[in-house]
Amino acid sequence: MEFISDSLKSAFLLLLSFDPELLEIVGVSLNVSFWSTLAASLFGLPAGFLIAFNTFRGKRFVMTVLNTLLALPTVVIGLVVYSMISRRGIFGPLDLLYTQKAIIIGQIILITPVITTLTIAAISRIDQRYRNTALTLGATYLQMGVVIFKEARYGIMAALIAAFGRVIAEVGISQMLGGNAKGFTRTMTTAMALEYDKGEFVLAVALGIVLMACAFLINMVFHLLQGRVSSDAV
Amino acid sequence: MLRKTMLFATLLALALSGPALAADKVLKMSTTTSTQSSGLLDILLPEFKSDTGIDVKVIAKGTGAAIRDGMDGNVDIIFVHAKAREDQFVAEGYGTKRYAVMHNDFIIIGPQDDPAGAAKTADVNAALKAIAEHKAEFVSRGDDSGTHTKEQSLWKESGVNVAAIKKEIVKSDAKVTVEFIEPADASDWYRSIGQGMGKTLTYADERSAYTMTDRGTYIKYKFGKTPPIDLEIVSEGSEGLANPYGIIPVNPEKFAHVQYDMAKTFAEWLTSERGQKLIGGYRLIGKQLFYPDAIPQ
Amino acid sequence: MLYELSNVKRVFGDRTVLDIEHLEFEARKIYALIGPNGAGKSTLLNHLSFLDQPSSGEIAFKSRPVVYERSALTGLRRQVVLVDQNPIMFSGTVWKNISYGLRVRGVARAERRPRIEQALERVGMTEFARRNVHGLSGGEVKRVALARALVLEPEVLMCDEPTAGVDNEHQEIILKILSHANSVKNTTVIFSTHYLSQSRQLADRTILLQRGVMARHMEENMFHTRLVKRDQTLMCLLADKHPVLYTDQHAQGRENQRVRVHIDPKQIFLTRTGTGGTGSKIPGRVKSISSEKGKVRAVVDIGIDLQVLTDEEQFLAEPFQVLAHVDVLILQSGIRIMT
Repeated sequence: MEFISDSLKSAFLLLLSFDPELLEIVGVSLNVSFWSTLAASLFGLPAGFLIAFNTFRGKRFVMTVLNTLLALPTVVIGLVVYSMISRRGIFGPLDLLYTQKAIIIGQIILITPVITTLTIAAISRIDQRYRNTALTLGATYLQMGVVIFKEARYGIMAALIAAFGRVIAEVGISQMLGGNAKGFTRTMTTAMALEYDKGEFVLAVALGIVLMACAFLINMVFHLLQGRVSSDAV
Repeated sequence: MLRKTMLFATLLALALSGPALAADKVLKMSTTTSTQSSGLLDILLPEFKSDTGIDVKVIAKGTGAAIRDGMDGNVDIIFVHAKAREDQFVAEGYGTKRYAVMHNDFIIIGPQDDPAGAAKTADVNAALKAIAEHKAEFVSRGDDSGTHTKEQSLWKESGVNVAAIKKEIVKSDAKVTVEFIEPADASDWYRSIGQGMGKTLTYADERSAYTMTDRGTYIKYKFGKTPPIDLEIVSEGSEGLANPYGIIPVNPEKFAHVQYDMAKTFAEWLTSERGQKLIGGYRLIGKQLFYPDAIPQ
Repeated sequence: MLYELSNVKRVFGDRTVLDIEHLEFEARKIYALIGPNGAGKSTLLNHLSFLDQPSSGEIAFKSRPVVYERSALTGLRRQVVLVDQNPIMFSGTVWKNISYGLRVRGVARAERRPRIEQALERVGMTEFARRNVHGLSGGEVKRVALARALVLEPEVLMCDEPTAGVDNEHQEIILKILSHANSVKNTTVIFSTHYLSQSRQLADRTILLQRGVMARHMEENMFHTRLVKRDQTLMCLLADKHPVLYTDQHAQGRENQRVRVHIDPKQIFLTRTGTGGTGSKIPGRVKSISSEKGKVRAVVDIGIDLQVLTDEEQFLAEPFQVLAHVDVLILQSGIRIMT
């Protein structure tokens, strides 16, 4: 019990102190999570859209594969990418290992299936009538796609938020590909892992609380961006 | 619409406020987790930066993984404490030269009531023998780290019956089969947990068991943590317990891209009067942790 | 010819939902599609609005065969609009919904405004312009959907059950809107309905569908009769008492054979009792009279209820009333034995 209250106190003090090291760590986390979510959505959203919309041979198979990829452990992704960007790997000369770019690459692999599958779900839930109504009113297929997208926007937002939550909280990829280098690739999660390793449990949990506070703020911003929510939207 | 755009812009700005370091003078160094945890680097590196303007990027892993990073050319310089492997590193041409920087020591710790009577022994060999005979629970890091390597050699030296066990572990990027030296009748009392030093201490504390640790981590867990661990020192000071640190620049002939000049600068700075004084002056909760080797004080 | 369907079949799995040998639609007319649920009315409408494609067969629109390729289809769809049975509204306001078709066609805001206002007025929803569609009643949604279609001034307006789920007050309004679109704007109107009365009220032509196939006759003036011999000739005994001559395509038929006959309502003539003329006249009494598109429909009781359709002019020349006794003359060509 004392442990929890100690952690809460530390978290509070940490936040209020605006400790430069803490701010740096928070910044790294936000930076890599933002870019990886953005890049993954550039691929995942259109892919999810196209898959949801079209029928083609092997669609079931593709969806099964995507769902399986949701279970990819971060350690596996970390190992595979590590082997490729290590100096001895194919992309060695690009000097990517232990940089934020490497973390972003790994995280993109992690959440692209997340965004794709959730987008498919969001689009599939959209009433078929929207499609025909848009078409009969003279929409081109592209214009019709925009309508579907707009009507599915809450589901799609949820997909992006879920993906962001996934990457800001992961530690396997950040640790393996980033190396937890102070001032360069130390994220909130790798810092937490380090503190735990050092036996600084209170500090580790405090960092966790800081991370949750950040996630909460980001979600608040997203919520405001969505604007008024009509009563029948979930 | 305007409100939404502004909010979006704010979000974007926040996200991109993360560090965008200009990487002109950055030296990549791999070291061990225990070195990083000791806090020494937090004192040394800012001083080095203000003296030379070089930023050191520290990647901390287990000894084996740290050396491996050097062998793969993923870093410019390695800073570890496993002399035999460091010599091999240089001999095989991966490193240019081993600079002897400092040493700290290992200690054997155990429960306050000391059931094996290790504290009463004269040296570490006798202490280990006592623990083995008593079959008192002993926790080993078992992770092929520098500390673990030292522990294994101590068991061999102590005269306790040892056996070689082949184990398959994952190191950096591949599954490797390593040979561990363990006491012959290990299964009853010897626990190899495959974890870092901190976790090992926590585990040993929970089990009221004996273990071998570096002094630095022990000091932290004993005097710098709430609640502190209950284990006490039962054996220290023997020659076999010394833990020398060496810094080795990665060979530019093997990897043309490494920042050899900066690596050499750092190695020479560490072994200079300035560096050595800083090392000797470092205190962890009021206690000296490292003893300079290049220019002994 | 606006539409021409040839051997159009639509198959889903192992079910044939539509099977039309030949069907034509002329421009500027109102067509009613009648049939029970599952008859294929919606399927046919989807084909006519280019939202669905036949499994086999051909459809020609404005004398050109329809090519089922994306850009060609968009062009065709911009000439015809289908209003769904349960129209779905895009999230937003009524105004936004109505403007959709104009926006996708790139119509400028300045031009959109008066057109939308006009469409709102035509369906009587002007006060609803800025309302959110969430919370509109069924009838209101239908009217917004109609406005959404009418604002585009399409050549063909199609409605799948335009008055389904709508209360009485609004039903008349909607039917009036359809009629107005045709009479004032020359829009071809094709609608499906369960109600015979609606087709009678509005339609120039009625198409019957049953299980995907066009039925040939209205299910009216179909009677079970018996064949009898009178003067060596086989005749049909209507209502078990009136023998009449019939057109027989097959030279078969025996006395006392039970057959089903159909009598064309347009080939029945009524005269006041006792007025001259020869031929088999059957006495009857007028049960009801109602006005239809350019025609007058009367139901005359001759022992069975006979539906009679008279031209407006003819009726006005020689009008009769409800409960009047009349002589019914059925042309031989109007009686057919059903096989």
